[in-house]
Formats: sequence, C-alpha cells, structure tokens
Amino acid sequence: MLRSIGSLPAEERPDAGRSANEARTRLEDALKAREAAIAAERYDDTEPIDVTLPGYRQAVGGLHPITQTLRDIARAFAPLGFRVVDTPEVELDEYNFEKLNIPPDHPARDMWDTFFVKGEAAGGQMLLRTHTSPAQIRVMEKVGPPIRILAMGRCYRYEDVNASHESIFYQIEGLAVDTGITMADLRGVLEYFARSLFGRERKIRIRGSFFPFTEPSCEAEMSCHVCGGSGCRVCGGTGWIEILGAGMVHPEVLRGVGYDPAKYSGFAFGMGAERVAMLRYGVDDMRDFYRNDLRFLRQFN
Amino acid sequence: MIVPIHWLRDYVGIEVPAKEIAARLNDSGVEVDSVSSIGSAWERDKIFVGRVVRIDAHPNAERLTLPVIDIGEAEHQVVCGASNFGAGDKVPFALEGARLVDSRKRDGSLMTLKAATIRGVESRGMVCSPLELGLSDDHEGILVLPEDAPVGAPLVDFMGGDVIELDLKPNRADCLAVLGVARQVAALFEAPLRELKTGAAQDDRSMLPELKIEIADPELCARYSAAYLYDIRVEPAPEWMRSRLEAAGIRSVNNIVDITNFVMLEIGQPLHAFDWAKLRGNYIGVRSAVEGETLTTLDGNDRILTPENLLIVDAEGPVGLAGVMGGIASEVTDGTSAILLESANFDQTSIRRTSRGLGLRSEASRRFEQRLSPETTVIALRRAVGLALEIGAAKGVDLWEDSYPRPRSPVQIDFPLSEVTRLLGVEYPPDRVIDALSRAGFDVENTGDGVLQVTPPFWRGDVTMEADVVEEVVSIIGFDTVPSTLPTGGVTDEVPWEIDPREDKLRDILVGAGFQEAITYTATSVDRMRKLLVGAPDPPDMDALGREVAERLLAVHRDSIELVNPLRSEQNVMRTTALTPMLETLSSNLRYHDRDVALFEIGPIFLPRDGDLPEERRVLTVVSGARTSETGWNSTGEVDFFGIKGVAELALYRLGVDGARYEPFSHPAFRTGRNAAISIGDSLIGAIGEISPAARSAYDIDETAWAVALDLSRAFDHARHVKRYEPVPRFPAIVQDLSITVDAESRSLDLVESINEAGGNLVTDVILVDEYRGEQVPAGKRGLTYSITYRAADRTLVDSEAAECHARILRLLEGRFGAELRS
Repeated sequence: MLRSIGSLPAEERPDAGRSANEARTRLEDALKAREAAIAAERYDDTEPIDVTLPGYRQAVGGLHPITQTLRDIARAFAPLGFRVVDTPEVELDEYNFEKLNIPPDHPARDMWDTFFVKGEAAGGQMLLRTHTSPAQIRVMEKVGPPIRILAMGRCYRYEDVNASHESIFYQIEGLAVDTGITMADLRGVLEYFARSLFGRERKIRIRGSFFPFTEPSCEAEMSCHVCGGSGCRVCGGTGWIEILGAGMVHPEVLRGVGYDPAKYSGFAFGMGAERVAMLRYGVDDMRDFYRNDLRFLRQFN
Repeated sequence: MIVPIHWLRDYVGIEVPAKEIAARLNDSGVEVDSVSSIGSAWERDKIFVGRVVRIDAHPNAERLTLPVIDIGEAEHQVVCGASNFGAGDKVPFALEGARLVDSRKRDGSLMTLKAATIRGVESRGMVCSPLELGLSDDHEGILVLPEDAPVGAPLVDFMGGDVIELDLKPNRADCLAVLGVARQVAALFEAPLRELKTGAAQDDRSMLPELKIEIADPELCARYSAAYLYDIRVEPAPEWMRSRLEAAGIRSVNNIVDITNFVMLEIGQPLHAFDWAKLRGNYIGVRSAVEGETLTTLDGNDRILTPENLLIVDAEGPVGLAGVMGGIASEVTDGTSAILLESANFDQTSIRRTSRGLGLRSEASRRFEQRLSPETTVIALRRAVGLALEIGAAKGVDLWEDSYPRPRSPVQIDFPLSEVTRLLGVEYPPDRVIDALSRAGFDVENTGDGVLQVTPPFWRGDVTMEADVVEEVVSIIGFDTVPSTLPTGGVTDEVPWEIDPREDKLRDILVGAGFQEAITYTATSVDRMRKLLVGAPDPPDMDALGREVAERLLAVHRDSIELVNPLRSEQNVMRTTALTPMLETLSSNLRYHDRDVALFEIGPIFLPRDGDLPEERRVLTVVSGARTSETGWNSTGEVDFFGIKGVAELALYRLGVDGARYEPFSHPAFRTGRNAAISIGDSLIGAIGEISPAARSAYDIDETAWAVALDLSRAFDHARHVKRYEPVPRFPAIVQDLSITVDAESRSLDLVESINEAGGNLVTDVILVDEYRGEQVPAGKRGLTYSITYRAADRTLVDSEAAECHARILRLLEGRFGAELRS
C-alpha cells in the first residue's frame, strides 16, 4: 500500500500516506499483542490425565506366518540373485515326474504320495504337484542359462493329517545353473541362507541322499539354532537339524530341457516352509497353520 | 530293512559300535531310520533263559498256575496267570529285583520286580511276556523261546543285540541285503569283507529229472535259474538262523522256508520253492497272463489275471505270479519230497504293476521292484543249496537249469577325473579317487590321461554315468570334504513365471487396514461350495451381472477339477470359489470373537479347461463379521456396505486401478440391495456386499457377514504400470461445500459426473462429506453435501470465479436432477 502511494495524484498523497501509516501501526500493535499472549500461555496448567489408561485401539492385521516365512526366505536369498517364481499347482505328470527323471512305474515314485486328477489334459495325466520341482523344468524350458531362481508355492501330499504331516505344504525350491556351479557353491549358498535366517553362527553339513533329479544328491543339516550344537530336545540331541534335500541337477534333467550337461552344471535344493516356521517359532503342530484360528495367527503379528 | 549287527558282523570284520556304523552309513547316503538295542535293559544276573519243569495248580485260584522254572543252577516256583505254555517249553525268567516294563501302566515305564504273595502263595520271580521285556505290546501270554535256547544263559546273550533300521532310497537296492550293507560298511571303514560260504555244490547230476525252462520275453524276465532239492527233511531251522531272521523281523516257519528268507535277506535275491511233484510236464515257462486267466495264490485268493501280470507256468497252466506270490497248488507241504527252487530276475515295472494292481506287496516283490542284478540268481542258489546241506534240510544240486537269453555285459564308464572337481568344487588326488572306488567294489583302470575306466560291480546297477561315479567318490571319501563357496557367474535376467509383486503390496495394505491373512485349503467339495446357493432355485435366479460375478469368482455352477483319490469326501474337488473356505474360516473364528473378525486370502481358484491344465485364477477374498472395534475403549461399530466398499477401494487404489464402477447385482449368495459388482469398462473385476442370510446360515454364521472378492488377474490388467508425474499445484485452491436436496433414487455417481461436467477443469476434486435422510428433508428426498475443490493451474483463482463456477454447477444439478440448495 505504501509503495503504491507514488502513483497517486500529488494532492492525495499526504492523506493516503497518513492513513496507510496508521493502518500499519495498528497491524504491528495487534501482532505484538498476539505474540505476547502466546508467550504468556502456560504449558503446565491443564488437569492431569491417567496416562496409564490404554491408548485407543488401532486396527491391526497381520500376515500369515507362512507368508512371513516365505518372505524371509526370499529375502535371505535375494542378495545372491535368486528371483522368485511359481508355476501351476495342478500339474502334468510329465512335469511333476517324467521330466524330472522319474519315469512311470519307477520305484522312486513311492517317495511322493500323490493326488491324481480325473480326466486328461493334452499333455497327459494331471495331478496336484507334489513339489515345486516342476518349476525347474518350466523355467529352463523357457530361458537358457544362467538360471538362478527360487520357486515357492503350495504343494500337495496324499497323506493323513497329523501334528507333523499335512496334505498341503509350501515348498521353496532353489535352482542355480551355469558353467562352473558346484556342490561347494550349494553348501556355501545354504550356509549363507542358514546364517541370515537362523543366526551368524549357523553351519551346514551335508550327507549323501537320493533324489531322482539330482546326482550327486545330498541332505543338508544345520547346526542347531537352539543349543548351538551341543544337543537339545529340538535337534534330538544330535546338535544338527535336517533342513532340506539338495543335489547337483541330474544330467538327464539338463539334457531334457536342452542344456548341455557337459558344459553346464547346477544345484537344486528344496525345503518346507512349515518346517522352517516351526523351527523359528517353536510351533509343534503343523495343522495349526491351516486352521486359521485368529488366536494362533495373531501371535505372529 | 532291518539289519541286526551280529548278522552284519558275519561278513565284515568290524568291532566299532552300532551307533558309529549307523552314522557313517547315514552320511554316505544309506539312510538310517533308527538304531536300537534289543535287551539293553535286561540285567545279565536277573533275566535268564529258563525251562518249564512242571506246572502245578494254584491251591486257591483256578486261573493261576504255579510253574517250576529251571534256570540251570536253581529251580524257582512262581505264580503265573498265563496259560499259553507247557512243561518242557523254554521261557524268559526274571528274578526278584529285575527291571521289567510295567504291564499295568502301558506307557513303557519300568518297574522293579518284587516278591509278592498272590492268593496265599509266595512268588519270587516272573515268567515274562513280550511286553514285560519291552519287545512289543503283546501281553496276551508269555514269550515262548525256541526249543534250543540254552537254559541258564542270560536272556540278553541269547536274543539281545543292536539292530539298525534303514530307510532305503530306491537307488540303493543293493542294501536291501545284509551282505550289501556289509559291503558298504567295509568300504567306509576300510574293513575286510568275508566271503560267503557257497560251497558244497554237488556234482552228481545223474539223478536230476529233466527240466526245460522257457522265457517268452527276456525284457520281462532276464534270467531264470533253478536248483533241485531232494531228500527233504522239514523241521525247524537251527537257532542261529532263526535268531538272525527274527532279529531282522521275519518269522521263522521251517528250515526250507527259512532258508529262502535267509538268502533273500542276506543276498537280496528272492527265491521261491515249488513242490516238484506238483509241477506238470517237466517244464517251467515265464510269460504274460492271457486276459481272464486265473490262479489261486498261496493266500487262498482266486486271482483273475490280465496281460499286465507275469506268470510262472508249468506244462498245463499258471503255477505262480512271478515275483509276487506262488500258487497254492504247488505249495511246499510236509509231504514234499523234492523242490524246484526258483531264482529269477524279473522286470521291475511288471512286478510293480502286478503287486500294486493286486494289492499284494511282500518282501520279495519289494526287492523285485528295485533294480536287481541277473548275476545274483546263481549266487543265491549256490548259497541256498549250501545252507540246505549244512543244516541237513535237504540234498541238492545248485544249478539245475539256467536260462539267461541275453547275458548283460557290465557297464563301463570313461570317467574324466576333472568331473569330480567340476561337480563338487573340490580336487582330490587321483589316488584317493581310485582308492574310494576300489573300496566300493568298483573295477578301476587308470588310463593315465586323466581318465579312469570304471566298471561298477554287478550289484550296483544304479551307477551308469559320470555323475553317479562322482556321487560314489564323495560318499566314500565323505561329503564333509566338500568346501563352502559362493557361486560366481550370472543371474537370470528374464524370469518366466515370476510371482507378481503386487500381490505382496496388496497383502501389506490390507494388513495395515486391520485384516488378518489366512491360508485356506484349496481342496473342498461341491456340497460345501453349493451352500452359497442354498435355498435358491436350480438354476438360481441371477441377473446378467450376477451371472458374470458367478462366472469370475463364484463358479459354483461350473465343473470342477476332481481328485481321483481324495483323502476325504469333503475335499474331493479343487475349489472354484475361495469364498467358501473363507466363510468357513469366518464362521469358526466367530465362535471365539465378537468383533474384529476380518480376514483375507490371496490364492487360486481352479477352473477346468478342455484338454488343458485348469486356469489357476488368482483371487483376493476378504470376509468380515458384523462388528469392528472403533476408536475409544470397548466401543464397537457395525460394519456396513460402505465400510466394505472402502476396503475394495483401498485395494484398487493400492494396485493403481482407476475408474472402477459399482453397480448392484443379483446373486443368491449376496443380499439384494447390499451388494455391488465392480467393473472397469466392460470387464467385471470383483464383487462386494453382504452375504445373504440363507448363505451365511448355511455356513453357521449368525450375524451379518460381508465379503469382497476380486479377480486379481483382471485387476492387474487394468492397473497403471508406471506412476506418472504431475507438477505439484503452484496456485492456491478454493474449497466450497455444496449442500443439496435431491430425489432419494438419484445416484451420487451421476451427480458427481455433472459437477465435473459443469465445473470443467476448474474443479479438481469432489468429495462427499455427508448424506442425510430424515425429518429435515421432504419424504422421497435426501440431502447430500459435497466438498468441491476449485483450482486453476496457471493463476490464483479469485473468489468470484469460484463462486461463478459453483453457481453454474448448481444450475446444472437443478435442471438435471431437480436438486435444491439446502440452507
């Protein structure tokens, strides 16, 4: 207002200037008065309240413990370049068995109790996948090496349900294929995983085993995260906990997807999410995971 | 496979404890299920082998007896309640002070045997049942020992010992034999392996009857060898043989049967004994059955056969199911005077199909299902005939006839030593590799140029290629020699089948909004799913939109994927809607909670496709009970339509799905007037609403229940993939409320569209702040208040511009909807 006075006719300028100055003074006074009032406000003159009363309840939900476990496992492997995939739950026999070097009527089929599906697809007999291993085939058929994936998902087992067996379970399957991948790499990767999920001191030992789709095959055991290896109830006194099955991808499996087994090698491993969750949280009845009782689920929020 | 350690030590000179043997076997890939010790609790000075001298009657009790037991240096009379034994029997006898399993507790706990007076007679000791000795749960009678049990010997010496139970994987069929396990143990511990006694072959073939063996298809029967046993004396087998069989879990029958079982357990080759006199025509054939052919098997069942079954026939017809079970007509009996002992190699697939098909699985068929070597047939016959002569069961000729049409030559593998390093990541000196393989019975020749010529032993049919040899090397040397490294090399850049990360985003925001994630079963039954339609006519009344909701998310009417072998009838199909298991979960939780039962699941539904795998449609399902906590202590709010719509909007917002349309539909699972289908353009992506009273009652829910169902694959199709930057507004906005009265039937969506139309690009946001129905407005009307934000992108909007725009909006609403401004 004061700055625009210059644009007025000369005779109006003194009056306008006076009015403007008065207005400014009033504004400044009002501002000062308000500042003084604010400064004078006390911080300690309110009635006390009982601060031990609970706060108002906020809506709070939670992830299923198996989802949490899958995420934690995916996170543990992520720095090593493993990407997470999932393939169909209703699978072809061909992918669940045959392309994994398990021909029809092979005694190795006894290792998987299988739900079969009525009717037939163009690709043959359908079933509920018994493991996430078909993902190995489905991914390798689509892309060439290098491969580094983690297949995670629901699998099915034709098995009576009890505290340590469920007809559904979540499997996590790792696969790395390239030139120069070795069993030592497998052990290193598993150790990396065990340390990030179960603590820095974990160690992995491996021993011989058999799976039709790996050769050599092994079983990996982790030093017990409860007793540290001295033996306790959790590890059955051995100091070691069986955690997964693994091995070097069978040459027939590689050949089947068009990879040259003389040039490429790979490792694969598979573990159950429920087992990992039971070990981490101390859950002792597998059925609890799929009863979806809020009194159970909310313990993991 | 149960391996008694004392039997194992017949073949391998090793004194290390059973636990250590088991650990090394397990590490090498021969998986051990358990190591147990029979009789480890039996004190040597308290529990003995006794002989029943006589049994006196109890003076005061009819059901009790007073047996007198001789344990060598003394006789004891005790009170006994069992009656399954007589004078002369050998029995286990425990002295006062012995530790026995408490038969009253039934939990395996031990008690100390005390002297007791029973109905007036003192008893200082006990004749024991299998339960009291911790052998089994059997407490029906006392354990009667073999006749040749040595009286006075500590029971533990007679029948105690360690056993290893193996959980064999299909690759190590060689370890389905004690000898095979002995070979593995010898290799691991570098211990000497003792040869089998197979001698005593008899050269006199002059008395042999004529025999012709014919194999129809060498693919189904690679080899058929036969021995001849005569001068048969059927009697119990000697104690050493019986104790080995029993320790391995096989019941002793008589010397002939025991020999066949003993050889099977020892060498892994099943044998079958035919009564020679009952075979017709001096002929044995091996051929597939003709459709409808019949055979009465040893168990007395009449079997109707198919060409899948492999048969042993004589000149007139079937006499046995090859490798599975013999025929009853040629069974060996007490009157048998000569035996044809069969030792053959059958096709594993054929045996597997037959034993599965007929539900007949035996120790023999189990072995035939594995890969056995044709080499073993003759070895097993030599051993069996040798044993028959040794124990005086029969005389015999061990190789009567042998048909082996296409002899197999051993597999030879050119094995580059570099494969060990390439696959394991560890380098062993060549000598160490050669030594490991040699110890395992492999024939190894070093050609000198880094390549070994490896010939696996005949019992290791599982080793056929280089990778197998690598596994053999590392299991003998030890997996613990493999170091720990991290892989170098590439990672996958194109990832087919990658899980959509937006599923996790959705989970996170729903959790943040107070929902608990569930994971429900994907198998259910049609009946369980049909509860959604309970009370509705068939086919149910639905409008077009309702039918589309059914098609996408509640495909109860469609065929489902059916299981051939469900565990139970309530789980015999794969779900075509996820609402059923979620309502069941809601129902079970409402039993324990009166509020905040709000759950969600992201998972598949399975929709069959002709000639293909089913579509696995990913869906989000949210369910909620009637009440929820509100801010404040113990105050509850009712869930209503807009509460549940807010959840759907939140989910779509998080996915970046814009422009969703909500329209009422009609479907029996949802309450009419309290539901909406969610669409984008022509595409239906979801449904929300209150579950119909009939449907929720069918799931035992007795309060209002709400649900959201979202087809994620479709929602993802409509989601913005990239977030787009828009400049932050530089000029201030003017916000004005518009309070109007309109017809109650008018739709808010239409009003908002008109507000935007009239306001043009000056209106940047329209938010409903209130809906009013009641006395303040005339009947048939409702009041709505919108908060409208006016802003110009390029200048500060002046009040008059906003007011002008506001008036323009009101005029349009008045004209179109008969809206009146509320004061």
